[in-house]
Amino acid sequence: MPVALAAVEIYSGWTAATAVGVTVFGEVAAGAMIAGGAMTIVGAATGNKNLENTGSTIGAIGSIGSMANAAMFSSTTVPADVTTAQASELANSGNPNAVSSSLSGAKDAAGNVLSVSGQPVVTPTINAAGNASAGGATDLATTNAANIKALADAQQGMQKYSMVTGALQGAGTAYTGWAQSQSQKEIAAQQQRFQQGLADRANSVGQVGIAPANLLAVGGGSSPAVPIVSPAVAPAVPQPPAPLKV
Amino acid sequence: MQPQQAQASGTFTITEQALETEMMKKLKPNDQSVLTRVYTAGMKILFSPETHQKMVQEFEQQMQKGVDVGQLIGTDIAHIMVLLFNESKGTMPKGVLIPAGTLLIAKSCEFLHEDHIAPVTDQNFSDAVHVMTSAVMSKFSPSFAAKIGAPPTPMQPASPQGQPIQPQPRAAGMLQQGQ
Repeated sequence: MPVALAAVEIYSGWTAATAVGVTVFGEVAAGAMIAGGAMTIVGAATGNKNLENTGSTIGAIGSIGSMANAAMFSSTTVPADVTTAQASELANSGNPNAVSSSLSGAKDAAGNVLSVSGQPVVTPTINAAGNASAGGATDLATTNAANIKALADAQQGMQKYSMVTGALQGAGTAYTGWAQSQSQKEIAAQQQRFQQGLADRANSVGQVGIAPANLLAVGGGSSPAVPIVSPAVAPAVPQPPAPLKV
Repeated sequence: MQPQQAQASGTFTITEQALETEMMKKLKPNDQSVLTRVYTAGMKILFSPETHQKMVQEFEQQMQKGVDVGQLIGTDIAHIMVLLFNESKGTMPKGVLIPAGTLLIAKSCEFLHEDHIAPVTDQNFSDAVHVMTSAVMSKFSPSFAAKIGAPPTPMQPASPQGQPIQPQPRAAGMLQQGQ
């Protein structure tokens, strides 16, 4: 069975989202895999089992999220040792780009890889989500039933945090609301200055000019932060890379 | 003190720098700069003179109400990440949301720990990352939220006309790890 179909079968519940939502969610989930992988490596390197296990779980959550994505076979989910035949299978499943990237040697150090063996499989990290550990990836092949149980285990591990997610309506809301209002004020002020600048320039040249790159920065006028596009004007253009650290 | 001993004693041993170094290894150069920019923007919210004091006050108030440190940090950082995403009008590459949030959590824990504002442990960090990850992912997938039993969050990604967010062209290599 093609891996894509297997994963979709296992996690079919999550593919109910719209195509737009799934695409966006897949990117977010890939980020979880990166973060989880980094945590796992640091945890393993420092002997911090807590961090290592947490990284494995976060990576597993990302893996599951990615598997629910139509474009799930990015290099973050396909192992480096995928064979040519398996690559062809993946390509036939509708994601040839992922195959080329996977064959370039992508490897997820967190152990969040799929083993392509003709059976739907999940990684040890997913099996042990909530109580996971990296390494030990000696036997990646599991049964379909085991995968379903792994999903259930992962969900159980995450149930612990579901109530916390609900607390988003409480803790921190006051601060965030305040911070957002401050940011909005700043953005409004910058927009006003920008519009004034446009008007001044138009007056100086005797015609209405074309708006330059309409970028605003979070937290400061000229600082290279996140580009904010005014909804009323042109789309954003990329900014040059910012300094590495604050 | 060995890390294992530090863990056992319930202290905080994780450093943001170590996590950032590993994350950067997994990203291509272009994605590294994106992560840095988003992380920097988050740091501005956390530590700029205009917002920092307010944030600390809010944190202490919540602490007094008995809110768990990990939960508190995780929810605050999740809010910040969604705030940044909303203000980018959806242009921020989504792949950096959780990595940047993780780094901000680590930096927040370092700050709280070193300034003795709150006792922070490695477990608090882990809890915070779980909370942030679950919240952010639930934010972008109602089906995911439903799957883990999370209620809908109030943080809806905004678009200029109030329409659902349209998919943005994927940042080059964002989903690909570095070699």
